[in-house]
Amino acid sequence: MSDVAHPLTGARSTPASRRDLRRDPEHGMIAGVCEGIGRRLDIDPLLLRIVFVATTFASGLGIAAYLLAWWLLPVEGAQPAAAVAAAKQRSGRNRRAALEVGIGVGCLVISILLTFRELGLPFSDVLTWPLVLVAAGGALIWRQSVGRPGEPGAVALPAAGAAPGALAPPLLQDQGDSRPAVISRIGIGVTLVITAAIVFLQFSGALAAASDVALAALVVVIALVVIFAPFFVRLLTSLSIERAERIRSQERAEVAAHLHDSVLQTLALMQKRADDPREVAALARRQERELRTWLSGAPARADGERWLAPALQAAADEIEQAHGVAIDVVAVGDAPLDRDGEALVAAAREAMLNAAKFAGDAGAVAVYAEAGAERLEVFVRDRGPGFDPAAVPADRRGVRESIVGRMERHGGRAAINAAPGGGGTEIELVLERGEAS
Amino acid sequence: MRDGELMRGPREIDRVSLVAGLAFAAFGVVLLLERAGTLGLTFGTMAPMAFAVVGVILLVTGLSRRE
Repeated sequence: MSDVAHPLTGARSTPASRRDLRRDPEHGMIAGVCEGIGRRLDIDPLLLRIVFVATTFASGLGIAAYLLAWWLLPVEGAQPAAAVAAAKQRSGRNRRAALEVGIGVGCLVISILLTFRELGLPFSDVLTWPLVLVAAGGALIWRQSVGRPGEPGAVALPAAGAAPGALAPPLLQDQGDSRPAVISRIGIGVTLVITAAIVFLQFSGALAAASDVALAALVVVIALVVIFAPFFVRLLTSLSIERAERIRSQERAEVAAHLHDSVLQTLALMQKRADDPREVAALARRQERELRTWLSGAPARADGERWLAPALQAAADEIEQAHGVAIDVVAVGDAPLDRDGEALVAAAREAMLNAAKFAGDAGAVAVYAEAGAERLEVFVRDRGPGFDPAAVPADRRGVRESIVGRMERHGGRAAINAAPGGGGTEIELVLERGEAS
Repeated sequence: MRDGELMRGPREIDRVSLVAGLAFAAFGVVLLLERAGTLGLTFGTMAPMAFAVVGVILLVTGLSRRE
């Protein structure tokens, strides 16, 4: 993610989650060291856990390194990019769960087999390593071919009446993973299972007899491949083409439906309101924002929780519609809103409302919000005539109570930089985060 | 404490922590018995135990995540 420039000050900022190396005990297994390092380096924390465990058993170094990291790394707090991290975590959770279950079962199998061997059971050597290899290979193939719908590696079973393209070979369907990764995973799994069979036959002394049968089977398989390969390749190609065409068709229909529901309706409304330029401009801006959001693919939050950036945008939309003043909202980072955050949004809304009322003729109102690890900041700036805060009558409570007083009651602060005589007004709202309130 | 936390229900038992704690406690008891001379541990007996502890923790972690 590239840095984002502050529209008012020009300062550049970087989201904290990408900038800082922190441990994440909330999502980690012990102290969240591997989770934090994995997130920072964008690798699976499970791999780091394996490295730590391996180095612990090898030399004891792993546990020392882990304790050192536990001591040195700061704890992950509520971060501005928590939404991004949460979404990423959700998407990787199922995959990680499957890996953990697979490796856990593998460890238990190894443990049982090693116990058999230690107890001197006669079948242990014949069974131990073939079973380990079969378990590993089977887990790889199973994970690739069976899963929940929507997961990487999951197989979408074709519904009745589905298009022929839905009948693509399940093992080669990849929903999220690259094709080479899928093929190599299946290849490794098959190789492990075959190796297990060979090892078992070798241990049991049946390899020589089995080799004759295997040779005959191999010849038959090669003959079948030579005969049917062209047909199979043609079938695969046609299925692939049909699938791509179906996806294109669905995307085209979705775009057409969205354009009809939003853009065409707005254009029709603008024709009706053609005599009111302000209204037309407001409609155009609203449609532009909606279209940009849709094109960017921003997911809708369905959990009912309010977040800073959408809440500010909603307030700006409401004021813009009511007063016909353009309000540009730029947000860097995002954060869920608690009671204090809601107060911040309410104060920002009041500042936007004042700007629209008293400085709406001077041009667009600029709103800049930044959700950092330590504080939430919102700047509302207009280019109006400005005013002297000290000269505001005592009975006018908008600025004094709804903005300054509200922020102070919720542990924040508000600063008003206003210059009478056309210098514009900037209201700065700051809310510290992370402390108990 | 923030309001959002006040709205949460009573704290649920973290199964991963519980199982991991029990596994490590059992492992510790075994080491203690070995130290006391009750058990004679070798690499052949330690390795399956270590694999079992790691396996159980990973299994419970994975199943908890899946839910």
